Amino acid sequence: MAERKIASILIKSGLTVTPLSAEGGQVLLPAPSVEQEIEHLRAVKHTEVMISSDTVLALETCIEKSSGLSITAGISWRHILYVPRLFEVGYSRVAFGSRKRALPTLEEYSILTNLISLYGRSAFVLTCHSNALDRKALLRPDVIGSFSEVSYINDQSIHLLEPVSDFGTASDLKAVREAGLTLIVTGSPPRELHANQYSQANTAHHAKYRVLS
Amino acid sequence: MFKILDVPCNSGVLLRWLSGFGPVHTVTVKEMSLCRRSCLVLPGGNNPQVFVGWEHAIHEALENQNKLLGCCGGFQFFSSCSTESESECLGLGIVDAETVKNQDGHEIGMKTLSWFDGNDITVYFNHSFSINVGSAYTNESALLVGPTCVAFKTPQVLGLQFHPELSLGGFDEAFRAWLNER
Repeated sequence: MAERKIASILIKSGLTVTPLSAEGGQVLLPAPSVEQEIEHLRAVKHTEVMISSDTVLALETCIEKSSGLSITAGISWRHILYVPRLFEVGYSRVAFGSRKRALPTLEEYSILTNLISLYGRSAFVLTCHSNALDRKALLRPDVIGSFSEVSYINDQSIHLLEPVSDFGTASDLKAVREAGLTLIVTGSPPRELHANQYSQANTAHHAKYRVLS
Repeated sequence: MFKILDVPCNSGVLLRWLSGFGPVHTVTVKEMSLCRRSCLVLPGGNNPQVFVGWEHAIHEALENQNKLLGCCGGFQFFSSCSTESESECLGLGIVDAETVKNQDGHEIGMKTLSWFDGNDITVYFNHSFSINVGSAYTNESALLVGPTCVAFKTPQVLGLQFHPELSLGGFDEAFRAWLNER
């Protein structure tokens, strides 16, 4: 059985997003160097990091010197044409799908088909956030069949203690299991963070997302 | 000197890893005939069909005594054919088998293998297809996990199903030893 230890980093408008409390809300803190964070994650034996951003430029520049572990770029579908560039700068996989839109347009889906013919299915991940529209995306074999993995982000979770196999009983995730895809589920544990606890937030940030396997 | 074939792949991270062992350049099909004393690299992070059209150049490079490294999709191109690309592959002949879909689905993550020298290596896999040799296959040049060939090695050719550039340095020593093999 292959082992994985995955961390997620979100870059939004140049800042690192950190949850404020279990009830919601966010505090935006100045982004520490993402490369320093990656080095730290590598040092604590993470095997993979996913870096998501609403801008491709942030993704292009944040891993210029990073190497040695698998880094996935999380982008929205509208940035699909940047995929070759992301592989050039050092990403080994690309995840598509934002909180606003999980599914590709027809044109984006056509581009995805071409990219898969070049880079293979293993290079691409479908990201779905925990809202009703995104769950419907999981029911479409023509979409999930293009990927080797689905990353399901439960933004509202407080404690995510159920093993992945339990999620397989939910009808909205049944299609994922039947397609034989790997399912990664992440959630935000509750943390009370304030702007003056920046150093603590840096450390806490690494524990922001948990992965169940 | 390393020459990465100019095909779609996860070029950035591979280039950075290889640069830790020597100079790295990309090479086109036409430039392959000029390669001498290099290590030609068929990169991974792609569908093996991206190497279609390179067959003659690769064979010529081997005749010119270049070493050859194939990773993941590049490794699978060494097989006889691939169901992922639905095309003929190089058929290098070291392991005469086809690349087919994994029986157990997509495999991703770190696994520990016993390398040819008897040492354990922990390396990163990310693949939905693999070279299937069957459970009765034996070949001292091949590293087998069940019916799957995960690597083969001769002094001139190294094929790896896993990604050495994503293995947190876990394959670096074994790779350096192979580079020095004659």
